[in-house]
Amino acid sequence: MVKHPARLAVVLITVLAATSSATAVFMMKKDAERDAKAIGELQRKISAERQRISELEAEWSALDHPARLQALVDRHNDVLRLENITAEQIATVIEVASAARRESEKRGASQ
Amino acid sequence: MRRGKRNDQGARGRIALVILACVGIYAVIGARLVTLGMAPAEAHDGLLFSPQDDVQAARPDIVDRNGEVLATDLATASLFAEPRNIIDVDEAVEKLTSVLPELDIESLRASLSTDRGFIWLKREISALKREQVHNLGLPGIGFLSETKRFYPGGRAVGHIVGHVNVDNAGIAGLEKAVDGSGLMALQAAGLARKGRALAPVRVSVDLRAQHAVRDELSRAMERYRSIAAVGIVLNARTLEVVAMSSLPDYDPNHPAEALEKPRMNRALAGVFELGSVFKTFTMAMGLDAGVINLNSTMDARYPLRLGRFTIKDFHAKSRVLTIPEVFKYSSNIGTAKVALMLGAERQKAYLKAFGMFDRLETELPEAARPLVPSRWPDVTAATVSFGHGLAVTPMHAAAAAAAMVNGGIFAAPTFYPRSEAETMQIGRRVISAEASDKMRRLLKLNAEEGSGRRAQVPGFDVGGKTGTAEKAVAGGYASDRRLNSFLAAFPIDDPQYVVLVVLDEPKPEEGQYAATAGLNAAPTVANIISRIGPMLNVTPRFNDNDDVARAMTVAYQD
Repeated sequence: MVKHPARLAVVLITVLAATSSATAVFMMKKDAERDAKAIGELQRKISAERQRISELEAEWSALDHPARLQALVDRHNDVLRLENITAEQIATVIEVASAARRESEKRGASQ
Repeated sequence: MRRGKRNDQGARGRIALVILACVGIYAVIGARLVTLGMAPAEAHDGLLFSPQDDVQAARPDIVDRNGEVLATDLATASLFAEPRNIIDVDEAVEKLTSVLPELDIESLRASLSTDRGFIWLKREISALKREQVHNLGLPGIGFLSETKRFYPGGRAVGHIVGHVNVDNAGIAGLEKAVDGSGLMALQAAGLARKGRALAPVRVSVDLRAQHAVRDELSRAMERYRSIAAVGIVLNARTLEVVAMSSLPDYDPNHPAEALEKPRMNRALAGVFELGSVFKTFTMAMGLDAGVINLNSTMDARYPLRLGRFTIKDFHAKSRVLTIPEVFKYSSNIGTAKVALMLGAERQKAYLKAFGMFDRLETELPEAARPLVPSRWPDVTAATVSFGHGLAVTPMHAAAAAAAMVNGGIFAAPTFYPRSEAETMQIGRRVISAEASDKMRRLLKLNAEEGSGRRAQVPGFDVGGKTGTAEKAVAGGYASDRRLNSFLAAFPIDDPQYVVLVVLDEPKPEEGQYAATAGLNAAPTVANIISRIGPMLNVTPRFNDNDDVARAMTVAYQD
């Protein structure tokens, strides 16, 4: 029936392979286009988010600027009762421990 | 048939060759595809460039040493027109001026009647106006979003960060320095665009300390009614600028203010004859050169006559003084004698080494050159020894003072963070470690017993020197206009920070008869140190431990 079955098979396989690879390439191209679009869209969103973040950071910095905080504290200090920290209020753990020891020794001696 | 067969054989060989070639080519293409597939996928943001991107050249944020934002980009809209596409010029002009009354009708009509493709109408308009103009629905009128520089740090850091022009190019301060260091090239290459993460520029300034210095200076200006004030805090070991304030200052969000002359940056761009704080440097020279030691004595019984000039003491003791006493009583006679013992040449060599003859090479473009006398006779040597005749910027004095107390290493101050090791590498030794140690003792003594008593802060061991200089006016010195300064370092046994405060023309406080540096600049320094000490993690030290017990009671009450 078929004169050269082997040859026909080769031709068929070749055609099939060519069609399927063409299809695959076409699909890939479409995928790539879609992905590129998606990437572009995401990048636009990222850039918008970055912009938003930097706006928020700027606002944050303006809100916790020491000058503003000081003005707020001054205005509400009858409620807050905040004072500048003095050096006497800062001590290391070792200093506190030795002071506590001396304190207890003193108490022990007086008893 | 035989011939055909022979041909056929030849053809086969050729076909095989062609197949081989094809296979080879496809193998190469395949291999290339595989390598491309293996390469990590890189983001292609080059895909969606629009004209929009051209006006959005981005600048990096400027942040302080703790990451507080000092300058950042914000998006704003700018209004443009395409006169070629405008159908009805009169309608456009009428409607635009109804929303934006600040536009000039005549010039607007003229510019819209041209045949140009693109003109800016107004840069940086608010969101509300943008909405209103948008609702006019005019053809040929549109918006581009631009970046606008915003300075959350405001006035406190104006002199440091500087500002930009409407095209977002830095024209002052660190903004200009950033442009100089390669940002322009990046923008030209199209690499610096909005949305791209440019690494923020970190500066050595601490916004909290900066605010504290500025706040205390403004209080001092009010209290002592001075016309200007300068405050500088330097890290004594690395010479990083932690705070630099010059009042009156300007808001970088309103850069037009910067043009007013009184708002110049006096800390770096103003030169002054700083007066007695210079005695610190003269003493250091003498001690380093070995012409004096802490036990030397100076005869300060009589005023010093040099040609037709006479040098007198402000707090005259009229007796023989030891070196610590010369420093403590701020004796001009004693200090001048040290300079004369040293000789003009060596004095000049030392001053040169301390950077007093050259413009300070910090990152900021606004830096003044010192005013150095062209001739240097003995009388100049004598007056310079106590700070008259040589005008330098306050930053010069602060940087040299850091070298006096940090063991003798001088380097140009910087606004960018740098480590101690880096400073040691680029720095140079200007006085010996022993001389520096003796200077610390002198400064400590002066702040404990001398004119700097009011600069003491419990726990922070301040050492320092006052300077009350009469301001140079045409034809001499004005006795009623003074420049008061206080140069301090703390903790003085192992200084971490140098603080310099300069008050320009302070008046006596109410109830006080004088306005000397010990009465105004020194307490200002004390206020600054008591505020910034805890912020900058300087561990306070107390000699007797009862204070700690008291601290415990205070801290754990109620």
